Amino acid sequence: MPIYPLEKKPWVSWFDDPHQRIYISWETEESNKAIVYYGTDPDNLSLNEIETVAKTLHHVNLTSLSANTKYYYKVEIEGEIFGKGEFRTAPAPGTYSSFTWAMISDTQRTLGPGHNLKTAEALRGKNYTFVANVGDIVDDGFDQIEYDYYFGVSSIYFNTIPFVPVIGNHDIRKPSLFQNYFINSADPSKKQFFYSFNWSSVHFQVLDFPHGRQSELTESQENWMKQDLANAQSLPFRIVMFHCPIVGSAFFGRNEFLINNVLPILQEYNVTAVFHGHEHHFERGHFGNLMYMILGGGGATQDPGLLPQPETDILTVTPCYTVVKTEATSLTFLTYTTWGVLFDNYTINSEGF
Amino acid sequence: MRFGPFAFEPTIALWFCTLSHCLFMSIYIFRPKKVDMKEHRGIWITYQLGRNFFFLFGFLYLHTAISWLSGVWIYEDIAYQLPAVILILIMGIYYIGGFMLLKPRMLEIIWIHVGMAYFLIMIHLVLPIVVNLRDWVEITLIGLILMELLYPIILFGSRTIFKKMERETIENSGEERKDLKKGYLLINFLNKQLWKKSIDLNNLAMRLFNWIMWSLLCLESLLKLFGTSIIIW
Repeated sequence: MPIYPLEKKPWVSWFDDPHQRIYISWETEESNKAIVYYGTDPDNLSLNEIETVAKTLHHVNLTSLSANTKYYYKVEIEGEIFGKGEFRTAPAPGTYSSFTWAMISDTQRTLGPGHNLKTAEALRGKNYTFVANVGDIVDDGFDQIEYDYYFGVSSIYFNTIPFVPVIGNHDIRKPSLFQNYFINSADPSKKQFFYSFNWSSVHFQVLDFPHGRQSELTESQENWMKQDLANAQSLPFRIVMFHCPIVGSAFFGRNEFLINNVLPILQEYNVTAVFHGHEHHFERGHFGNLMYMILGGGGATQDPGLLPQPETDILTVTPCYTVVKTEATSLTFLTYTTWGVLFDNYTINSEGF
Repeated sequence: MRFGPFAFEPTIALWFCTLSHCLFMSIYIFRPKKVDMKEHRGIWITYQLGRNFFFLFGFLYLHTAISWLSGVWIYEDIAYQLPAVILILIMGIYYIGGFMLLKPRMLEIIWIHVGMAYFLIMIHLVLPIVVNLRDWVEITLIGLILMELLYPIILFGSRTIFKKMERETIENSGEERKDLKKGYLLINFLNKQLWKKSIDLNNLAMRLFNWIMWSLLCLESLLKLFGTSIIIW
């Protein structure tokens, strides 16, 4: 079984405005300063960002980027290339273009690499705009080795696919370790892991509900969530992601707190779809016009889907990942097994746009 | 009271099953031949422990397989989960059948019912309402193993008491002792062998079955470690 080093190759992420600024992050075993070269021509990376402070965990913010543009980058440490990759920036606000993104969840390994490795292999070399991981990225958030493993496996696609993380109940065991790797705010005092961004016709909102408990709906998160959704009403689609499902057909059943306190907010602000993990199976269903998906096929052993809920439309206990083809007025959700069989195809059209 | 839909994942049950069948095969291959178990208490205790262990874990495999077979399936689930479900179903039936066909005693039958009741209560009543599920799954399994360990102590203790009472009865045969007679009858009842049916584990069909199942279990377990199965490559 492979042992992964502390060193982590570069990955791309963002938390607010990916049409003009993103982060490139990586980790080295020894403290050092690096230069990030980037540009639109892979043979001529004309721009650069130079680190001024030596460190092991690096987050370099690239700003003033052009919207809807493909960029290439390389990280150079002491004259040697440490890693390189590519990403695309979001279209400028108010402009729509089609894009494809992927979703996985619960990539935690259980007794061995399991199918997390197969999921990562399925994403290898793909040019998805980003991949969202809807929580439980690691199995034991206390354990540095779990992060080494996760990044080791994910490095096979992180060079071409930026990363949108969501915090899960296993990750939150040591929030500081999670937030070391995944930044969601320029303000380091912000404790909860929520953020949002727009991409073309879609507003994405990431929330911090790893367990779906009362204590997680803090005043600051609730106020921000409502305001953020209110600001996004002009876009055709609003997507919300948080780890704990509102209803699920395996172990956790119906979460009365989320049903009574969060679902009404999602419905009030016309959210198109909400995505979860937590239960280790794939499930799609609906609360009226609001579609939900549980994407727990990303790596952990599967939970039995023995108790379908009234809202459940399809349920499977198979390792899988979901790809979303996004047009200006439609979202098509294609869910594949890790061995490449398409087993769920569902489209949402936006009326009035 | 809430009745939970909990069942172990076939992959977890498969890994347990592979480990238990490796243990079974090592006992099967290296077991001493023609040993008078009455003379060797260690071997006798190991034999009793093993019988009970394989029964209760056989029950776990059977429960998992039946729960999953009665759940929701689509074609892709069949490809990924079915090999493990079929293997644990066969092994569950084999372990339970083997136990029942190897001259069980009344105490064993009572004990396995206690074990099954414990397992069902934990899995359907306790696990669905706990918050920290993983810890409670571990507690359930540790409890099951402790019950296995407790069983030979009870069986051995009851046999010792039985023999002591038997001796006392002989020594006091001239006296009328109602308490001793009642206790004697109870211990005698618990130690009663229910039937004498037995399977011959040495015949060719059984040997082939054990080796084939062991190979399939090991193969499927290894494939599952890397996210595939016998059907999917």
